[in-house]
This record gives sequence, structure tokens and C-alpha cells, in this order.
Amino acid sequence: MSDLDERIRSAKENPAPLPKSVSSRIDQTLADLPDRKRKSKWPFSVVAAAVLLFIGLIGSTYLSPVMAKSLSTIPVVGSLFAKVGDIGQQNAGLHGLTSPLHASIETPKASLAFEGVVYDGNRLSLSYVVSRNSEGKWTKKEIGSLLDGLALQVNGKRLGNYSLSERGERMNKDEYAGIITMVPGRSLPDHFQLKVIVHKLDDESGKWTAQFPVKKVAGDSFLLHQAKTEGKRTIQLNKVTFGATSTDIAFQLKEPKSLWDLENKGKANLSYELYDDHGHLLKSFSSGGGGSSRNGIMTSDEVAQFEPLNTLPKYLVFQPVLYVYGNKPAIKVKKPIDGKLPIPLNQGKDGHVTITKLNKNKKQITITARVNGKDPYIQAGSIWLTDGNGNNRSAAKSAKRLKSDGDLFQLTFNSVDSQKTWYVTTVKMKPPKVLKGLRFKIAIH
Amino acid sequence: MDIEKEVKRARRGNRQAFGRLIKEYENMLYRISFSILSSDHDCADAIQEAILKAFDGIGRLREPKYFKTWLTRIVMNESYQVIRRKQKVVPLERMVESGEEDKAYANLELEEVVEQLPEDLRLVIILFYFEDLPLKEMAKVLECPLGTVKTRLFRARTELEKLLRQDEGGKES
Repeated sequence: MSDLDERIRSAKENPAPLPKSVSSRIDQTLADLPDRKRKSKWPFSVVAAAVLLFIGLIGSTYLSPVMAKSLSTIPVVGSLFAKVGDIGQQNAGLHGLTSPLHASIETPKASLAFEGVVYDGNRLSLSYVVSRNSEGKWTKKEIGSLLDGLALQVNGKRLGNYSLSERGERMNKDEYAGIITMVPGRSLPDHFQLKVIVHKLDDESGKWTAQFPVKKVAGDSFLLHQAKTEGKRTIQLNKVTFGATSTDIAFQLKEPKSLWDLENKGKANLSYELYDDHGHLLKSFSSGGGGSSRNGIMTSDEVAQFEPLNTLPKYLVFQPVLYVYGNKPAIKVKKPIDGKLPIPLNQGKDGHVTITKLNKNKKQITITARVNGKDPYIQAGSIWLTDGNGNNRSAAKSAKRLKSDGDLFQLTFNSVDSQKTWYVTTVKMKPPKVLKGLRFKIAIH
Repeated sequence: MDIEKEVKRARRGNRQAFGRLIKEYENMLYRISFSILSSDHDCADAIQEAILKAFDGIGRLREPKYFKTWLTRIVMNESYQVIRRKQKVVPLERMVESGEEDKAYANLELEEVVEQLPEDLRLVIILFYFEDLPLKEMAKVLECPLGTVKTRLFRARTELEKLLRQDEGGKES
């Protein structure tokens, strides 16, 4: 037996323990497996529905003192959406499209109060405040573990395929407010009962649930029947949906599996751009999907999500762009923040950014940057701060595009000692390749 | 554990049997998803979806003896789905930061070296040496000809031996 075989045998016989986060997720998943009974008799279903309805009603009216304390910091329903949401969730909050919730989960040490919900057919957004009974700062890791141990059910059934993300900020020492965004793999009913199952809160593990009704905020959808091919890629547009929190383009992508694999390996990234009828590039939230391969061709159903529009445009322009990543290390460009403005930063072929405004508080620095280039969101998102020792500090939230001037972006850096010397840093980048043969003009009728 | 008997029980809807099968293969699920995702958080997502998909589909699995191959394919698919579903716009600064807690598994020296291999070679090493999957089964799982699997395995083994020698050389110097 060679040395390699001996080492493999030894590694197999003495496997490393599974990371706790993985093993606990496996155990939770097994504990929550749904029943696989194919048929249910109607009397049971009726009783179960009645019980669920009763629980929902109890859950929706019960307001504990801890929860009341949590919600006391939120003056207006929907304001959390406006405060901590992305541009789409802010839009829903500001236009009163969110529904108030009065449901909470409590443990002896902490409480999780749900403030509001909005489902627009594209995304489900759920705002919440999590509070500790004792004082203590919520860390990103603790909030991350809340999301790790969270499961959602619609009308009592597990959601098969969905993605979850979270954003938020600390309200005060022992409170954190956030928004959970769920993108379902299939569309949800117009009315449904949402059950939230939490397996970890603060440092306690268990199983707590809250349930409440959700009503879809109707958006406009248009079926599309346009297809284009460029090289070995084909895109067939299926639907555009104008929701309260996002604008979604659903399409089918066909490409050789070898190209698809390159993206999975992080060597390239096929992304998407959407312009409105004023030529304004909409902020991309995400894109993704799934499918299968046959005879070397990957066919996947994809959805690209962008910021919402408040009025229907006459048309949209949708196009894929391809980022190809090289092996060379990125060339960093950094300039000191020394009170002198403006601060120009060269971003290579992508363009340049100019820091035009700086606001310093004791522990916070906010910068305003004018972006000049073809990829403004990526360019603005590629700015961070570096201290004298080379430690990087990224912005608390993604760069915010200012409504007053579409070329201006604002970034806020929290927990920075503004008395220290900081450098504003970026990198030289190449613009993505626009796949012009797959550009669509989508007329909205 | 008699895997085939447990698979038959699980096919009839026995949740405990299904649970025992998953626990039997949980290290395999993690090894494979980690070789694709390299992040514990993402692995947990992929494994969760794989378990649920397997539970939904086990009634349709005809041959119990292929359970392991079938489960391998599911966890690989779900790992790739995690990559696809993740937000595609990755802030650049995230690329330069390293995840400390994602390396819980990398405390073993051999695994550390395997991790340095390119993904296609890493997968064949894990499937063949760690999971004892026959070459024909590997070809099915990886959706490529048997010859390609053999070539990859040869390259992977050569590369792995080279990396191990370098690693030892580095330690001695």
C-alpha cells in the first residue's frame, strides 16, 4: 500500500466531526420531515384547518409585554421596510403596501417580533425585531444563526425550493431590526397562511412557531414570447412581473453545460441588465434558477430580479452581460481620507469614481461618490475603506443610488474610529461583455 | 446497517429508516458538498435541500443498492443549485476576506491538500477513495464517459501525490 493509500485509509477511518452548524441543520431537517401520506381523509383536514385557523387568530392578536417593548421603537407600520429594506422593500414600505403583523416568538431570554409582511408575487419580505431581555449586542453571527435555523411553511406545507436572505441593523444595544427576504421557487397562492418555524434564538435551541395570513399585493404581469440566439446561448423570455418590491424577468436559458460549469466554478458570471424607457439602469437584486442537462446542453428556468418601478414603462430593455474573471490579482487603488475633496479613483477600463462628499461622526464615515462608467452599481459597490494596517472595512449596506442625481451613490461605514487615518480603496476592473445578440426590447402593452 | 433493507423501509414511508440512512451518509453529504461549495453555511443549505428532495423522491427509487449513488447525485445537484441561486453580484471586498469558520473540516492534513485540487479532480478523489463509488457509478454521477473518469482519477492521484510531496518538503525546510 502506497503512502497516499495509507493516508486516505487513515483519513476515512478517523473522519473529522461534522461542523456543528451542518450537523444541527441535518438533525432539524430530519425532525421536520413532512408526512408522506398520499391521501388524507376530509374530516381530518377540516379539523386541522380549523385548528390552524384558531392558532393563527390567537397568534395574530396576542401581544406580550416583551413584544410590545420591541414594537414600541417602531413608530409607523412599514417603517422598518423603509428603514432597513433594499430599494424595493423601501418602496413597499413608503407606499403603504406592507401588512402589519402582531405575532411573536418568545423564549425566556429573547423575543422575535414580526412587524410586517409583503408578498408581491416575486418576493416575500418579512420585517422583524429581535430583542434580548438582558443587554447585549447582537452579532452578525447570531443573526446568521437565526436565519440558519428558520423554516417556512405555506398553508401547512413545506416550501420545496426557496432562497432566504437577510438584511438589517442594530436599533439599540439589545435590539436588532431586519428584513427576511424569501424568493420562492414557484409562485405562491394569492392568500395563504405563512408559518415561520424558528429552531435557534439567541443561544437557545428549540422549536418555536408563529403563523399569520399573507395576502398577495397584486402586480402587473405580462407574458412574453420572444427568443434570441447568440453563438451557443439561447434565451427565451417568458414573463415580466411588476411587483411592489421588484421587477422580475422570467426566462429560459439554454447554453452548453461547459459554459454553465464555468459559471459554477466562479470563472465567469452571466449577469443581466434591465433599462427602463428613460434609459435608466435598474438595480439588480439577484438572478438564478435551476434546470437539467441533456446531450451537453443545460436548460434552466431563470428569474432575474431588479428594483421595482412605480409606473408601467412603455418598454424595457433586457440584456445579459458576461463577466470573465482572470487569475491575475486585482490592482488596488487607494487614496487617504485627509480632508481634501474631491478624491478621484481610477477603476481601469470600467471607468472612475470621485468621492465628492465625506461625513464623519465619531464611529461612522459616510461617503458620496460620483460614478462614471458602464457598470455603476458594481463600481460603487467596489469601494471600501482600509486602515493603516491594511484591514478592510466594507459598507454596512450596499451602495445607495441617490434619487437627486443618478450618478451619485452613498456608502456608510459603521464602527470605524474616524480619528484614525483611513484610505478609500477600489480596484481596477474590466467592464462586462454585453451579449448584444441576446438584447431584448420588451414592449409593455 | 443493512442499507438495502433500510432503503426499502424508507421507500414505504418509514421516516426513522430514512433518518438512519441520512445519518449513515451525513459525512459523505458534507464531503461532497464541501468539495463544491467550500462554505459550511452553503453546505448546510445544499444538504438540507438534498435531504428533502431525497425524502420526496425515495418512493421512486427502483434499486435500493443504488441509493448511495442516487443520494450523491442529489447532493451534487443541490450544491450547484446553491451556487446558482446565490446573489450573483458579489461585492468585491468579500472576495478578499476569508471565512474563518468555514474551515472546520480542514483540520485534517489530507483534506487540506485535497482542497487544493481543482474541483473536477477533487470530486473524483472524494467519490472514489473516500466514498468507494465504483468507476461506472462515478461516470453516471458525473455525467461523463468512463474513460474520462479514469483519466481524471489518474490526474487527480498524480496531482495529489505531488501536492503531498510539496507539503512535506515545505514542512521539512
